[in-house]
Amino acid sequence: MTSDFDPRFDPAFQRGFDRSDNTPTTGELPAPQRPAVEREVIEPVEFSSAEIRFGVVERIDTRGNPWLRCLWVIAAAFIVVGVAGQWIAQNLFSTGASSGSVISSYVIPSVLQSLSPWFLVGGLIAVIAAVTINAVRWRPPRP
Amino acid sequence: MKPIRVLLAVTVAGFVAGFSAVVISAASYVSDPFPVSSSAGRSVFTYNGLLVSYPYYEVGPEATMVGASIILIVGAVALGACLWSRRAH
Repeated sequence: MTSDFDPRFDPAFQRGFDRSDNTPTTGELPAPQRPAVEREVIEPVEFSSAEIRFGVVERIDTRGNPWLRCLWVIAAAFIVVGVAGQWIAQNLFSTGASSGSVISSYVIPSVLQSLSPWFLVGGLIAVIAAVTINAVRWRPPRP
Repeated sequence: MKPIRVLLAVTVAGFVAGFSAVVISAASYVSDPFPVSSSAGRSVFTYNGLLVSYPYYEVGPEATMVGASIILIVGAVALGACLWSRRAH
């Protein structure tokens, strides 16, 4: 039986090999000794319902996320401030010179016109970020 | 204190500092007029009982500081929303 093994390969991987026979069947190489592996004992981890458990992806709830709520508030506030700033700046540019005050004629319109685009861009970025986070964390409801 | 809150505090501090710089720049601009000239062709204002005029006011790099802080505030809050989990709170 042993002569049927191909001497070029390990008999353990050839048809007809008897695992109970520890003697080398081909007489070429002893069976490889596997080093003892120290296995680390890992304590089981408690998962909440909002996480992956036993391979089942559960719904991740974003409704209680205070940062996400804050992001929506910031988005709305920044967009309102940006639009209002542009509108007020344009009004002051057209009527401020007749008011007799350099602050309402030059300073406030210039400041608003410089800052309101940043508020608009920041608000739009906040909207995009909030929608993206909601979309990434959304899971279909379980049947 | 958590790192995300530190980042948010730093960005809010940057926003306040930038806005303060804008206010200081505007205050120095208002307090430094030039005498009105008949050939200036500019709007005339009163400053300490005198007729004065001003060049057009332009906000400098202070506006960029405020704007960058606005973007960083949004980024910090978005990062906090990404890292938030019910288990951690």
